[in-house]
Amino acid sequence: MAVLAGEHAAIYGYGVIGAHLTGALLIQGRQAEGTHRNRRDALLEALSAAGTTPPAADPVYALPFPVTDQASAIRLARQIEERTGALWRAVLPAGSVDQRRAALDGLTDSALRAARWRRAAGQQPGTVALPGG
Amino acid sequence: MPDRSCGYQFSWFTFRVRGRDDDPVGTPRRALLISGVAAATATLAGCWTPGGSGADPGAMSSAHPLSAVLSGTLALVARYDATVAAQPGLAGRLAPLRAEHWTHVTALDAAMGRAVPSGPPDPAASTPGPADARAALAALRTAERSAQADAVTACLAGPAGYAALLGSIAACRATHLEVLT
Repeated sequence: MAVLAGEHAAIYGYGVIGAHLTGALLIQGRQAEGTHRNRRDALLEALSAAGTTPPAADPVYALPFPVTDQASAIRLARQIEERTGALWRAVLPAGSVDQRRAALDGLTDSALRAARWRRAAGQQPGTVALPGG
Repeated sequence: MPDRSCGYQFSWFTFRVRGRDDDPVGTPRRALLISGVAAATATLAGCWTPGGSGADPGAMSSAHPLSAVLSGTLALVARYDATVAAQPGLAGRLAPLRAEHWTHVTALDAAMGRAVPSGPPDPAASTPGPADARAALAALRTAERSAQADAVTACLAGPAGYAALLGSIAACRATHLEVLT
């Protein structure tokens, strides 16, 4: 459930971020949003298959800081990926092998995107030792 | 290293071999010698059994679920060190990645509860780096890709308690692949 809430927030966040990106970074943002939408849809499917009624997304999410330009957009994108990664990492121990594989895909994907956003902000190589931790 | 009782038995065996040939008792003494040799050999074999009392307490237990990933991580560190030694121009690029692999070693040591932490591996243990920087990076990419797959397998197949650590290690290795271009 927490992961679903995180994906809802990520999709909202990327909507705001996209308004402040251009060119290759805008494409990167759109791809990230698309991936988060796919993960949200997969989670919704899994939850309803399990008989749970998932909560709807909030219409507006409080952002951790105002996004006013490209630099703050990139910073928010990186944070979104770091927070999403942490949520996926938290559910890694639970569930079936298939669920663990989905969680590991989520963690790995968010780690890759977080590193790309750090490089977009000028950090090289932009990697961290234990993503999601 | 054999324990003291093994050494003592071994000395006894040697002493018996050096027994005099001119012993007037003759055959019965030789029979005693042969059975003594057999007993000493059996004792020696017992002492040298892997995992027996002579085992090094700091050595990795092959039964621990994390020991394979730890070995693989140490091999990666050795490979990075060997690459930097052969291609000093790559040192700046590779240092942060090597540091992250070392963080994995420390985390794995802690998760395994190892009393004696892993020391830096001998770079000579890794195959020497290729002659040029491009080939060296390609070799590192191959090693990271393979190690990443190993971490994924370990994460999915291993106990739940280690899934988060192994998952983070696998995700980190994936990010390295995008850097090693």
